[in-house]
Amino acid sequence: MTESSEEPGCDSLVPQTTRVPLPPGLRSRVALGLTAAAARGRFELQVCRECGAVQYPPREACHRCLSVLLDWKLQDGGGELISETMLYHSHAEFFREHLPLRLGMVRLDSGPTAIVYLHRKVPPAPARVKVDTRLDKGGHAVLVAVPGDTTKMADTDMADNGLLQW
Amino acid sequence: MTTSRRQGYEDIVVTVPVTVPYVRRSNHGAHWFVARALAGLLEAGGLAKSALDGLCLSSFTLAPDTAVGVTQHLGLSLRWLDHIPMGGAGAIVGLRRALRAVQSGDATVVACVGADTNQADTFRTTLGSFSQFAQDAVYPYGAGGPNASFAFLTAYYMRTFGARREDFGKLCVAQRDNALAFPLALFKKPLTLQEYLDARPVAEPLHLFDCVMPCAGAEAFLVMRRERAQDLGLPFATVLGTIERHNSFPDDPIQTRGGWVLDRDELFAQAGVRHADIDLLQTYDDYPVISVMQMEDLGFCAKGEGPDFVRSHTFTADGDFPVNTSGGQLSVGQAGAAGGYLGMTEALRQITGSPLGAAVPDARIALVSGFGMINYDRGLCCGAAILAGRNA
Ligand SMILES: [Zn+2]
Repeated sequence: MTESSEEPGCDSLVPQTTRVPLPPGLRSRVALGLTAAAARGRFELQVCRECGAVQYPPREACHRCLSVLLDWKLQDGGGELISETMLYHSHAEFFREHLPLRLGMVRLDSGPTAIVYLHRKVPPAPARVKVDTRLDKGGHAVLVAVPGDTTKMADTDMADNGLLQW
Repeated sequence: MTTSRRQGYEDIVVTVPVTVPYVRRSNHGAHWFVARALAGLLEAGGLAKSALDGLCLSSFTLAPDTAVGVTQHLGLSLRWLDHIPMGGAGAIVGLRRALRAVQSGDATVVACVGADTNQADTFRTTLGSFSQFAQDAVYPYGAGGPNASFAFLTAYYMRTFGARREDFGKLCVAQRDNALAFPLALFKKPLTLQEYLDARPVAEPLHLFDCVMPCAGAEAFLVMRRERAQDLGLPFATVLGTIERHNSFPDDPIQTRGGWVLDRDELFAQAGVRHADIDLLQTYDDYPVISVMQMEDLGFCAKGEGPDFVRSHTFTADGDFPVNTSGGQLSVGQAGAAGGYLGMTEALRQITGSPLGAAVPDARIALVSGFGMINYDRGLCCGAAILAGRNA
């Protein structure tokens, strides 16, 4: 875009629409349950009413018993970081200015494996972590992992890179 | 483990391996590549278009079409049609479907085709909507695509089993050596281990030469009765055994093994051969770690012995354990679903005495392995086939 030194004319009354890249915002309807809870500051996953199995990623039926009675329930987020990567290449425009990104694969104590944003203070895998939700810049829930002995999530500083709403 | 007595494929054969040459990008739609593959099959097979009565298709870029739309688009009237959306397992699963279709008499000549285009935006748009779990729980985390997924698996494998980057590098370098003799490979420059090690990181521990280059192209073959192939004067391979398995170890926290582990004994029993009889192995090699996993899980070495196996063997066409003798996807390119077919067409050429590149000496029996679909955190589809050339 070129800047004009001309005196403002009629065109300046038309609001400039600058397209701000956002993180990928497509989610299935059932996955929005994660965001609904995250908006209230809670990390919730679906739990099977029949067999108690915890589900992730969000889904329509229990992976263990096929029950469709899944309730969103608060999670303590404890887990083990089992693998990690430092990502240097992204297919989405939004992430390009945030690279490299540290990502982790966490085995939650409750069962499922989750892919998460990894706080820089988390030691290399294997390590104890605590998983929680945050809203990303597009307003969708993402999972983050901080060191397992973190007591106050608000003290962590993952927002400093502009990736998440913190 | 559930075992079953698997019926053989005695009188059914695989013939006419066709490759539609790969290009880095194409403005053509996927249908163009399917058409080129089918035309290649008919021409090399000496068949009229009307002789084709079955089609088994794998493609990621046909949308909004499926194989159904392709029949009208290309004017095919068929009595048997299948669409196999299983990525790197597409050729194995397609072969299995086609074999039974011809064996049962539901079809007489089945074309198995893996074809994809690669337009400017193809790869990115395919990724974002690859699966519901990927869309909801992977893509929003940096949108790294398969690089990120395989980085997790590779890092875990290295930590757990002591693999080093040099081990994966050895495979990549050997495949590049193979590719230098393969006229259709997109990569035509030699690769040294030092260049492999010095490459820029993509998703640690993966660096540039651990990753395939997406491209456009197609691979295909025909399945028909033995007498038909003989009448047409076509060199053919017989199928000694096949397996497939999906979502095999759901309780493993992270993937270190695939479904081959559950079925390899049946595969070799059905085929009536031993590991020592295999003259060449074609793995699904979108990343080197998964090639090593296939060597282990198919039983060429034990789980965790992959790194030592790599260190003690040579993988070039003239080596003591020829693997991905065309160069594999890592050096030929990954033409979408055609990537799952690359090892099949290469194996067919080797064991029928018509390799396009370096020949494996006295190649008679090939094992082709397929692996596909990182639906979320792991590849879900595994398959393998043992094929024998005419003189086997
Ligand atoms: Zn249940």
